[in-house]
Amino acid sequence: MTTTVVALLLVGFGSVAYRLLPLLGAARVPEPVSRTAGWAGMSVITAVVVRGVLHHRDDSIPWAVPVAVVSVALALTLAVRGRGVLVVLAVGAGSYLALSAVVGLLV
Amino acid sequence: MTQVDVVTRRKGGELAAGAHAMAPMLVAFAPFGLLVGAAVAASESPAAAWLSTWTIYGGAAHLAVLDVLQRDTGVLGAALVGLLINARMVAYSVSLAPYWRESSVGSRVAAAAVLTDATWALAHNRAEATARARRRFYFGAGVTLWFGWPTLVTLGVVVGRWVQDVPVAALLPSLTLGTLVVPQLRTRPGLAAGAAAATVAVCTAGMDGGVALALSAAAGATTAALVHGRKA
Repeated sequence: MTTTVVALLLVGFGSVAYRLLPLLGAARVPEPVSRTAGWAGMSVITAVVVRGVLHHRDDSIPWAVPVAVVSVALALTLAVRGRGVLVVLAVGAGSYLALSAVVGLLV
Repeated sequence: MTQVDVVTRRKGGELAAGAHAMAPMLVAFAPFGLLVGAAVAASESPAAAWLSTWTIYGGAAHLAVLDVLQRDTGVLGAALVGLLINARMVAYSVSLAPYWRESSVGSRVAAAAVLTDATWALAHNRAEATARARRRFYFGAGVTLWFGWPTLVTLGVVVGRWVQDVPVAALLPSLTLGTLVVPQLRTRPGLAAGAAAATVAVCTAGMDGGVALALSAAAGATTAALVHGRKA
C-alpha cells in the first residue's frame, strides 16, 4: 500500500511540475521554442492515436487490428472533411462493429 | 446595448464556447474514464489512486501507473512509466506560454491545473483568436473537463468493469484525439509533424509507451521545424 501511495505521489507531483513550471516562466519562453513545442505536442497526440489503434485488442474477432485501422481511418476522413467529434465517433464505432460482423462471418 | 454588456457577453461567449467544444469530448472519453475508474477500484489504495485523478490528470499515465503497480515492479518503475507518459505536458505548457505572459500568477496556476491533451488541442486549434479570447476559451474547456473527467473516473469505480468487455469502447479515445489533431494537419509543418510522428509511432509500437512517445515528439517537432525553416 505504501508503494502505491509513494508512486502515485511522485507521478502526481511530477505531472503538476510539468504543467506548471513552463507557464510560471512564460515570459522567458522564446517564440520559436513555443512553436516547436506545439509541433511536439501535436506529434505526441498523433502517436497516442496510432499506438491506441495498433495496440487494440479484441479476442472476439480475428484481425482486430486491421479492422480497427480501417474503422479509424474511415472516421478520421470525415474529421478531415470538417465533421464534428460525435459524428466521427459514431462512424468509427459503427464501422468497427459492421466490419467485425463481416470478418466474423467470413473467417 | 452598453459597452459593458458587449464585453460581458463576449467573456461569457468564449467561456461557453470552450465548454461547448469540450462537452462532446467528455462523451467520447466516458469509456476511457470508466476504465480508469475500474483500475482505481482494483488498486491497493483506492483512495490515493482516486485522489491522483486531479494531480496526474492524464488517463494514459494514470492507467499505466496503476497497471505497473499491480505487477509489483516497485515505486521507481511505476513512477518512471507515469512520468515518461505525462512528459508531453511540458510541450503543451511551453507552447501555451506566449498566451499567458500578461496573466497573473494565479491564472497561470489555474491554467496549469486544467492542462491536458484535449484542453491543449482545442485551444491550439483556435489560432485565429486573440490571446485573451484564447485564454477564456481555454478555461471554458479546461474547467468543463476538470469537473467531468473525475466524475467519469468516480463512476468507473462503481460501474467501470463492464466497459472492459466492450472492445469498441477502447477505440473511442483514439478517435477523439484524432479529431483534435486533424485541424493542425492543414499547415505544411503540421502535416510533416503528423506524418513523421505516425511513422515513428508505427516503428516503435513494440516499445514502452513513454519512450515511444518521446521519440515521436522529437521526430515530429524536428521535421516540422525543418519544413518551417525551408518555407521561411
